Amino acid sequence: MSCAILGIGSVSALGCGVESLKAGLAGSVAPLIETHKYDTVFGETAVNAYTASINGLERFLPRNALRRMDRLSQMSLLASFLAIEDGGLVLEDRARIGIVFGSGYGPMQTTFGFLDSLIDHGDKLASPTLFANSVHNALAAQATIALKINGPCLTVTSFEQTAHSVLATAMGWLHGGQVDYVLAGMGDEFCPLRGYSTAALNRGGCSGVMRPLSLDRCSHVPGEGFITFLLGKGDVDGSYCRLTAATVGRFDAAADLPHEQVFIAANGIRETAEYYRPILSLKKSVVAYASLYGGMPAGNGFDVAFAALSLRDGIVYRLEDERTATPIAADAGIDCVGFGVGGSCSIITLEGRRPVSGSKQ
Amino acid sequence: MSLENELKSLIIAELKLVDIKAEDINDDQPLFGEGLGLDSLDAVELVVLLQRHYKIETKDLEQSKEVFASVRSLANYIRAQQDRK
Repeated sequence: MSCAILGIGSVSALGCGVESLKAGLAGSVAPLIETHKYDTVFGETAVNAYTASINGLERFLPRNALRRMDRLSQMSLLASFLAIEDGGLVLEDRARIGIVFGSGYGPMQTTFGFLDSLIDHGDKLASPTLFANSVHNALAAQATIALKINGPCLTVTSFEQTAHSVLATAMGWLHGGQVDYVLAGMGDEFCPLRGYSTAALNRGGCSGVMRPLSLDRCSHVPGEGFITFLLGKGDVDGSYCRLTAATVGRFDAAADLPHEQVFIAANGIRETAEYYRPILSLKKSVVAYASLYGGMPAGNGFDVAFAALSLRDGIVYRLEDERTATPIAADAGIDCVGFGVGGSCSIITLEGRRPVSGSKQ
Repeated sequence: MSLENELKSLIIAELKLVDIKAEDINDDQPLFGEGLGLDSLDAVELVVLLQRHYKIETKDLEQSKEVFASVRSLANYIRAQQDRK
């Protein structure tokens, strides 16, 4: 039931493209973090936030074609173009390509902008452009239009389980024979409302520096970005690795993590930190990369990308204290674990490509 | 600022036009098609713009084609409606 990760397109605070993720892992690029100030009931509060770079979309589309797209749509579109480019896919039978995107919050700035226009001007004078983009499926719809893809098109929202929902859907489409390829993407945007919420909720209690493995303290820093995977069937030469499972449910630390290497999506939120603690006590190699991409519900999609890069390149980076690089076998597996606030757990498993002589489709 | 220039700035801002300044738009340049290149969704935004900023409603479709032909025709329509109030 596995499928192949053929290409990765990334838009994050590290920059654009899969090379920016590699540079972030290796420490040659630091994420762009900006400080915003909000006047809350607790006084003026500064909030750090990861800021994604969306420079480069003009390489694929004229600027005028982008004018009605909001930031989240632009990030998702750029990530998708980059994934196709990275996978070297020539778009031929566009009815055999599916698009499934996910976002924890959806296009927040647009959604609340539309609500503001509704409140300020009434239903007759609310912006039609904001309305059209305020629905969650605008992301995938914009991509189908821009890429001229007319296979199945879906956007899912499942907060911290968003990455799982997207990848499980994509695997279902591929193995059900509905499509030959899927663009499976996930991400979230930062906007003033998220900044204000963070300021009000933190009340100065967070350090402003993300330390995902320090489970005893709040270190959540909101982030934004979008990661898109180009997925195909089976085990394909030239692919990053295989996506072998995407499951969700209650978690049994000892039974549910078969592989030695575990990537956890801890992101400095105290409410979920306790769920990760049992994993740290296992005799496994555990890493967390939220300090590279920032806190967002769909953020563990970036963990999947980092896992794919690790398996392809044979290196796992540890970021805490001193950055170290450890070799990982080409046929190893990595379990990417993410918890929701209610304790539900998603595990996305990647395994290295099988040797060609023993490949099974 | 003249009403024409005010309209140009509003159109650029509200329709999120890129790579264009108010001074680049000629008063008589067609807003749709070959001119400024606006489309039907922009037309709806323009109707909303008129109502929001000038409290003017446009309901007659045939008349709207003339009104929204250019910045000058739009400005003339606004002046005429304001004079009637």
